[in-house]
Amino acid sequence: MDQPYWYEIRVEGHLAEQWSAWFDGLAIQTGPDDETTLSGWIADQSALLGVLTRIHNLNLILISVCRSSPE
Amino acid sequence: MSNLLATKLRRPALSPKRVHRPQLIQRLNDGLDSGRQMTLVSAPAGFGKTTCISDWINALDLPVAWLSLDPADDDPGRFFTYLIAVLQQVDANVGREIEQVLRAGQLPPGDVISTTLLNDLLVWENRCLLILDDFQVIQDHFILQILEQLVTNLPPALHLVLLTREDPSLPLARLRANNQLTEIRATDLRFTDREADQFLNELLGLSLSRLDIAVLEDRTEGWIVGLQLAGLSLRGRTDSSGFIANLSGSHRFILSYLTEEVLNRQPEDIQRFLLQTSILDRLNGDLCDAVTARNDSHSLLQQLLNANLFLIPLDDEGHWYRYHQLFADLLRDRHTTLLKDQTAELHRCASQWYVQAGMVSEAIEHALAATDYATAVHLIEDHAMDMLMQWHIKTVNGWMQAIPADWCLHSPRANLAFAWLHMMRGAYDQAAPYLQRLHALFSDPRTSEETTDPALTAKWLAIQSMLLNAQGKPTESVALGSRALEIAPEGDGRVRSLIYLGLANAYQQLDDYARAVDAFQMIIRYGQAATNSVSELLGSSGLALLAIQHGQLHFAYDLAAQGIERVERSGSLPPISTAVYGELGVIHYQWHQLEQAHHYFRRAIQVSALSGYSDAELFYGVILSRLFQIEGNLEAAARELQKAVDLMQVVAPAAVREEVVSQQVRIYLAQNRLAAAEALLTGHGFSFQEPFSFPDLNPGPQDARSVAMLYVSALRILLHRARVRRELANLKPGIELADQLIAGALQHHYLLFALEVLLVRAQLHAALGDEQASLADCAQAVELAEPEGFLSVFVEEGPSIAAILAALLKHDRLGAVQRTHVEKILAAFSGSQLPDAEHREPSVPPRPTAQAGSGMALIEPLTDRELDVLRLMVEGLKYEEIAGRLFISVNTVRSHVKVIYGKLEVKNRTQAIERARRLQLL
Repeated sequence: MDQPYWYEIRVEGHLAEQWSAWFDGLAIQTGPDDETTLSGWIADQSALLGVLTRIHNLNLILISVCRSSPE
Repeated sequence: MSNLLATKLRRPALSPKRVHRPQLIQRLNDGLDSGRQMTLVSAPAGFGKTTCISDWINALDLPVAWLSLDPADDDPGRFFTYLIAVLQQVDANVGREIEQVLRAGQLPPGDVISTTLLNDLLVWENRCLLILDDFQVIQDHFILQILEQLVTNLPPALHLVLLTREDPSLPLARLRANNQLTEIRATDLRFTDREADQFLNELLGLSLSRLDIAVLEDRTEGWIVGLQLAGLSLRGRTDSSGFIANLSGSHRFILSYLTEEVLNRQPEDIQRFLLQTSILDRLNGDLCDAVTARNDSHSLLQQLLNANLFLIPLDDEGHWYRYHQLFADLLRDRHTTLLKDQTAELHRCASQWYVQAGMVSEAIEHALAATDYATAVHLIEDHAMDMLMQWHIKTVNGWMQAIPADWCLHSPRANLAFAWLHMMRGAYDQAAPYLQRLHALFSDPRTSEETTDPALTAKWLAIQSMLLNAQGKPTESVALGSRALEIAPEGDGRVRSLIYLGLANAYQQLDDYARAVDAFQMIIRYGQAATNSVSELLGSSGLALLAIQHGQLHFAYDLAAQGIERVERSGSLPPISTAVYGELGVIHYQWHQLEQAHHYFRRAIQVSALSGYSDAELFYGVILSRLFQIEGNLEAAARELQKAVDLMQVVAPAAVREEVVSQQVRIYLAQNRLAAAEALLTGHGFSFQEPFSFPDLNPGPQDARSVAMLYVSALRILLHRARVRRELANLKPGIELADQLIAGALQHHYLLFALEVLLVRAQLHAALGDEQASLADCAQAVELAEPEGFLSVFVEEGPSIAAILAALLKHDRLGAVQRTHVEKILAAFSGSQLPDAEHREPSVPPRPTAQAGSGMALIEPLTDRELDVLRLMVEGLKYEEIAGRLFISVNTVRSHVKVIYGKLEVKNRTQAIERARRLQLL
């Protein structure tokens, strides 16, 4: 359970690349719509919650959280 | 540190520039009026939760307990300490028992905490608001469990308000279903067009059209921080509509976008200032100067505040600020991108500033953030004494864990710090491993260069001399302490005051009052020289306590009152001040100013609540019990004492033990429970069976006085048996014992104790029918008590002493005693039966003047050394010359002169010489 997984987190709005460090080094990609995807390895559930809390603290709107295999 | 702490327990300052939100206030009021038990304000950062609620309570005429939580408060011990402290601002009685346990470093079981708190809160008749701000930081399971029990059973008088960024793990659904919850959420908090208009145009001074406002409101979704950032970006722009249109067309994350806008529009030096100071949790002008190497930070902060740049004042005086959480996050993000190579250096500067400011915790945190372990350990070790006074063991442990393990094992400093911390609390077993390591480190010269550092060696000697004190070996302790003084660097006031602390204790044990006074004076002086108020107060407090025991109430009062005045002026409240408040309470108690005594004891307990310093609590339990007893409230007296007895199971400072027993005996006898009183002393070797026997009155020197207290308690039992059972046979040996106790007390100048035994002996004589001896004892007590204004020591003895005093007046057996003095004491007797009858403004009783004291011998004779100094003063020598003649330092001469003035009760050299001549001292 507590092993690193690849996550993709989608939020509303366009977030600049410079925020990567803020989100544990997740890659930041702005999508075609009014959306940004944060993606990368997240160590465990606590780290994931930390990222989500930071998203919430910046008042970003969360669209989805997906665990997937890196392609 | 402590004034920052106080900002946690106090409602935030209301900004005069704020948008009034009548609809929200109406909803909040409706919830309160309809008797709902809880209000939940749940929204992300920047929605104006705190502002809205402080605006609301500002208009309410209800008591409010406001606790601003920090991430560090997600620790049960800390959380409940603060929760109780903030509730006690409304009612000082809430959670007293839990507080005692918490203070002893223990956490009571969860259901005990919730039941006890609920019981205390159930008696509240008037409504009160408990507000917990930033509640999202609380994630600890134990805390949430207890809060759940509280929320489920909230007493009608308490209305709980939670301000949080995320919904708490509490049974909200049940409260909603029962219509017990008022909820204010993000959608309620966002600004309407009208509010946005007022905010942007009136408060930020823009002149935007209705349409522009509507677009902005839409783009930010009424998010207040977003609007504020937009407003700031618009300042001074000519084409606001263009900017707004552009903004509304962009998908960029508005916060990041606008922050960059706002930052980029600031002059370059302001930008740099903001980024550099973003490493600080709290800001003030001097601190920012130190970190940014500027000299105008104070006005710059004022400028930022006026420009609405997310600076929040933490106090009303404009000393401390913090950045709005979101803005701080954004600044820190930019800081990491742009200033990464400066970060450690900035932290180092902050750490240095906090050292100068005497705020060690912050200094240590910043040193750790700079990964400067050497400095961190140095600080922990250097300030161990002060840190003990603000005992947060978890914090300290947290620091130590942040330091790599190797550092701790082989660092003499780290081990000295821990050994010292534990020893000051009397926890010698916990200090043992550190002491062992220190022995090894200091006996092996190869281990480190530090062990040859004279300051460290001196400190190690000082610690060992304190160990010897604790083992009752004051002579050996003095020897080590003196050696430490030779080694310790002249200029190292911190180490030297540590050594003097050990010496003061040793001299006290040796009954060498003058040298103990000297040692305390040195601690005070070093504290003053280093502007270290904690150290200075430690010296003042020790000296005041000593002076009280020796009957110098006015001298003690001056020391304590001046110490407290300095503390209160400084705005910080080091926990050692609890002892000084307590001393003021004791002095007022002895002067029979009971209201004042209550006031200072309450204050002492309040202050110690924040610190976790439990020895003090035990001591106040005893003295509060005496206070209630003298007021005739035996029930409260017994209750307070029981608290002290319970606490003695948890912490047991040796010196207080006999005080507790002695007060227990008084209470039992007042309750007519002779057997219980006797049982207490039987454990100490006394036997009240026939033939009745006391242990030999030959205690070791170090605790002569405290053991002597047990003998007085035994005498009280004899007196009780004589009165109740007419057993007179043992009174004669009792009187002989009293003779010895009085002689011993007078020889060592324990005036207060001498007075007590004199009054007991007067009653023993009276019980035997020897009225003449009884009157003589009372007269002597009056004579000794008068110059320093002792009253309560008489009143404590009750009607039998009042009768003897009345007889003194009636038979005119006054001798050297003045009639008015006896009348004054008798007036205190009647006053105590009617504590509230008259409300006089208590004042310090007239201090002994040269005229008043001139006819009498000194209570406190001069020592040989003081006589030497006095003789040279009479010759007209200057301090420097006296110092040269006697081979002592000028400072020592000054301290002797101060003591001489005190003993002679004079203010200057001329008076001193005159008084000395009259007393034929020369």
